[in-house]
Amino acid sequence: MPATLLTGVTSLADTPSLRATLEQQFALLKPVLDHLRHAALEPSPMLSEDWRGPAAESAAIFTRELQTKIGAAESVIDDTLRSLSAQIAYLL
Amino acid sequence: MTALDDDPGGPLLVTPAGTTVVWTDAILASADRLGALQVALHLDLRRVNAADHLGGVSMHSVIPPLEQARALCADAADKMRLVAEQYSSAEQLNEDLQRQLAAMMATALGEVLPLFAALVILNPLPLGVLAVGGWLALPDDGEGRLATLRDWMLAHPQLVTSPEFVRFVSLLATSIDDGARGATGVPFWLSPLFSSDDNGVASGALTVATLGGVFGMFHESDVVVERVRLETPASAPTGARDLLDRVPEVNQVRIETYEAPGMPTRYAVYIGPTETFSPFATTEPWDMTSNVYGVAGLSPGSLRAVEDAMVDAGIRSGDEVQVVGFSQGGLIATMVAASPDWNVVGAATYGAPAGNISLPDGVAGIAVRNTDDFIPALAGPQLDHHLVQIEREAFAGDTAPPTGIAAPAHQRFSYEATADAIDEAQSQAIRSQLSELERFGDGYVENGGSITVSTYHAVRVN
Repeated sequence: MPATLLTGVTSLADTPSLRATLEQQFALLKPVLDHLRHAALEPSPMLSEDWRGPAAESAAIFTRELQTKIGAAESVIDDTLRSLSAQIAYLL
Repeated sequence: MTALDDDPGGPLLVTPAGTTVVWTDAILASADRLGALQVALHLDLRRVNAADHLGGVSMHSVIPPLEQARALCADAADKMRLVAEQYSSAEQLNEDLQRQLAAMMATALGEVLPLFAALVILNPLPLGVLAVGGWLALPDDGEGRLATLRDWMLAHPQLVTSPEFVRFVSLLATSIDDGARGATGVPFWLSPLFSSDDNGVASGALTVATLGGVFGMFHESDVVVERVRLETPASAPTGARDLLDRVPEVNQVRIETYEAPGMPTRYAVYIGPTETFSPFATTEPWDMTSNVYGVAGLSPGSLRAVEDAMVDAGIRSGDEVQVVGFSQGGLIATMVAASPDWNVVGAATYGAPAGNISLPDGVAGIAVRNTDDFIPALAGPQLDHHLVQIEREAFAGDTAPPTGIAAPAHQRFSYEATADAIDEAQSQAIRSQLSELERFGDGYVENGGSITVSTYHAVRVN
């Protein structure tokens, strides 16, 4: 299968070159996913027994929002990495 | 000495070095973590952008959620900073206004003092009867009326143990010179023109020393210092509590000498608190005379004793020194750190009336105060910000201070609790300074060296 069909965005001529590019992309993205997974498990940056009243509520809202956004980023990157893995495997 | 079973203290307030913005340790630690997360997400974005520039698979769907998470962290950190800055600005404005008003009131009071004195001289009988009558109205439980007053004060420590009283004392400390000016005829509305770098704290203390001198109080003298003990401990101090625990009492000065092959010899000087509160000097240099002379920026006996002990321990002007002091010890430690005669690189003070002393650049460390302890306020507001300022209410919320103890928020046990809280602090501003203080004595024993402790006792002579 031509490389252009696999990526959908490039017109790289030869398969080894495309595979090398995809591997580079994978190598760049993998630490990002690791970091986001680690960040998702970490306690909230706002975690504190000293927050009281409205501040505690704001901190809780912020924490949920941050977790949602980190989760969304993690999910998209995970999908992208799976796609990259599949394409690299296909080009082997 | 009383130990506190449960810590009744409030949250730590932190003013990072070089700033005047007051944070709580919790908010500052949150801002630190948000900042770190934001930087990490920024690095993530750079990796994603680099991947995108390679060609291959498009990263356009990856960038928005990452950027949103990064922006959320940045926004929250900015809001925290803004809240801390606005709170600090409002508090500073409030304090400045109070201080100007107090100065004008003191000047106005000073203006009428000569009239009051004349009234006393011209009408001694009715005023004398009033004073004696008031004194006799106090109940006498057998130990005298002065003891009744003392016992009443000890039974009501909340009167002198609150941030409000501390503010009052601070305003008083910066208004004494205005009162003296008023007494010499300067009109009250001119008082704002006589501002000085330290808000008149030093000249106020000088006024107290001068007026006290008329009644035989605050008489400075020569001092002699003698080494009374030499020993070898196992390790260098770790943490704020350990530093405080090494501050001596009775024998007022402790000097640790750190020596190891290939390492510079360093010295840690620990200086004890006030030993006697009598305004009449006896043989004890750690007295009220040294306190007043110290705040006035003069040469108190306890400072001279410490410097004599430092010379005896072999400290030369270029040697690296770390100073630690509690109460008057903190005042003297700050004076040593401010002196061009010594190379002080680290300082930790607890409850020190030293806010009017400017430190040079290059001194790391912490200045710790309980916000309901009025002793540090005797030197007015904190003006120097080279050290990280750490404050905490020793008896916060509904916690009543213990009775039967003079100035409970100034007692060693209160500062021990605060030091424990500091050791648990999470903000980078505090953690980094504790690391600096710990690094001072690091590696000496491990590298085949030793730590020697000399303890000194000083007395007044003449």
